[in-house]
Amino acid sequence: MKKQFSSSWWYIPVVTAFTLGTLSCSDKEDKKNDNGDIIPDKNNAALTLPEGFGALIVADSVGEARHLAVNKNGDVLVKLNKPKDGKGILILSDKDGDGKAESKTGFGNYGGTGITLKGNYLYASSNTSVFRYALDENELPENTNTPDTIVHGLIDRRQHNSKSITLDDNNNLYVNIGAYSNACQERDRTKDSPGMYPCTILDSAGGIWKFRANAMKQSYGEGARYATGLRNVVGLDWNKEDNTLYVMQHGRDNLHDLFPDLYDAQASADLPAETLYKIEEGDDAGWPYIYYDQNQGKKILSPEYGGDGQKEPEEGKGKNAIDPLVAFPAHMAPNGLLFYTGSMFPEKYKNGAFVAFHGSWNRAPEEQEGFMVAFVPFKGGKPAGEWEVFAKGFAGVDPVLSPGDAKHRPCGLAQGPDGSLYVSDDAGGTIYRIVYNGK
Amino acid sequence: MKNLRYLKVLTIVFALMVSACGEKDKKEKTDPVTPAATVKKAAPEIEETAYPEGKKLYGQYCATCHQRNGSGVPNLNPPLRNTDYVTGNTSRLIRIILKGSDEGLEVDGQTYANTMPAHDFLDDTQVAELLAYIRTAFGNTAGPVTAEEVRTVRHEILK
Ligand code: HEC
Repeated sequence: MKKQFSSSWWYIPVVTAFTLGTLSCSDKEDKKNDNGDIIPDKNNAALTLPEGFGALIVADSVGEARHLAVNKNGDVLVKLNKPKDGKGILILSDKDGDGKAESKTGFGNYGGTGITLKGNYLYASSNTSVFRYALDENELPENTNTPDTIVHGLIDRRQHNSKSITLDDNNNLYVNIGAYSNACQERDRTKDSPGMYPCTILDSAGGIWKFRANAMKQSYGEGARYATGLRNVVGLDWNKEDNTLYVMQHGRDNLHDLFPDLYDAQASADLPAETLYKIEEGDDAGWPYIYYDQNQGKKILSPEYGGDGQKEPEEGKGKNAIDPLVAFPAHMAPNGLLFYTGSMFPEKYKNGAFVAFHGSWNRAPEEQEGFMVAFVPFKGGKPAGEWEVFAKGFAGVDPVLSPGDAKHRPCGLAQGPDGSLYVSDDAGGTIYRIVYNGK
Repeated sequence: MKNLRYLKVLTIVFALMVSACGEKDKKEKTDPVTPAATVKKAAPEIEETAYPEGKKLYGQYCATCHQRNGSGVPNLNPPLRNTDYVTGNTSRLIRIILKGSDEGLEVDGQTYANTMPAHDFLDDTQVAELLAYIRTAFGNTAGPVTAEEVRTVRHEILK
């Protein structure tokens, strides 16, 4: 033992060589260029992007990064699905201006999804509550141990329990409460179990609830159901251009498993659409009575409620449901929605919608799809063209046969003060920053 | 004398690292957009099984959630690879298949958000075949399950 120790000084030259080698390898160029632009990683963080765009990794392996927000100083605040070392919210700071976070601190010993900045406050959600933290002069939360409880006691039955949040400009807070069910069957996802009518889950879930952003300890009694018939919304955003709420719904699963005579495995992999809705107060998107078939371009009565894959909505069963603005392919799991208001990206992107797709799991035996960020151009509050893939390559494998194989899964989106687009990943825990350097 | 050897080590390590950098540069320069980490992967062959009927039932009723390869879905549906529930006590396993579960079972230290539906519409022989399959697939090496065992558990549940 002793002998080994005394001779272990030979590590020194090896370590020195290693350090020198590493230094000579380090991406010295990953700094601002002469224009002060952030320089992307050489391989664009392994992403494929449109011409002129680049990407860099701000931080990686931070934990299951759900949604995120970027403050005026460029600090990135990340909500973790589960706390890591007792910290459910991370603060990532770039001290030297190269776009990479050198400092990582955290607080808030609870898991969850929602996080957003508004005025002088940070708002973050657990799976039952929404908390508020006042910001200090550095734009960072000051009362990290004693946040205000704005909302509490929301239903969490594990399935679809993310409480995503967004605020309008009038001190209103919008919270998604996902349905703890696939299609409101008496026994969830169980073959031959009938659909409940009416669907009582809608009393406390399956919609968007509205609360005051500055009142304490609200629950169902103090809030209002703002929109219903939404199975599960994880991505939502308040559009400042037309002062309206927009949401991305996760469509239902298991059509073939539950109704093999009506839907073959292929149909089940392709149906129904993942849908973007513009939401006015009181809207009903029709779940569980209907789903949207993007191939037929219309709403279809759910098989649990007498549908056969062709029948249209009936009175009291989704007849008055709103239509989606955009219908995406099935099961891709839209977890983040962001209307881009920055001026870094080209004109085409202004006021358009970015959607982070987490990637599918229930398309077996087909390949899984998604694992990318899409873009929908908007003009005057309406889609102004087809949706397109904006950033892909997150999964790191192609094809993805099972979602567990994906190295990274896009989940949240945020815009930085300079107009950069940030993407969080809750599989590998990577925080990406996408910039435009084309001129 | 000794020092010379360390110097040699130093030189070799340094040279190796520098040449590794060169490789990286070259690759990134010629191929700027293709994700470096992307690996084209052929569809994995699903292994041979002594229980083809069980495999068919698995594909029909279980694979969407637990995946063809039994890997499950992170945070949603648990894996069936070498879990206690799959390879352990057969009565408990049969019970989960027949009754389903949405209590948030702890599987290898994790819990999962989705619902495991009841599959009591499968008959005793089908359940036995299915379980014999999953207990020998995905790298599992547990013994078979008999239709008699399934019948016994079904009776207990009905009681
Ligand atoms: C709708 C999705 C779904 C389907 C279909 C499904 N399961 Fe499950 N399964 C789950 C979930 C979710 C759990 C965990 C339940 C809990 O936490 O209470 C689970 C738990 C299990 C478990 C115990 C935990 C473990 O991983 O060892 C076994 C065994 C199992 N399922 C086998 C099957 C088999 C066999 C089938 C086909 C007959 C099947 N499941 C169909 C979702 C599903």
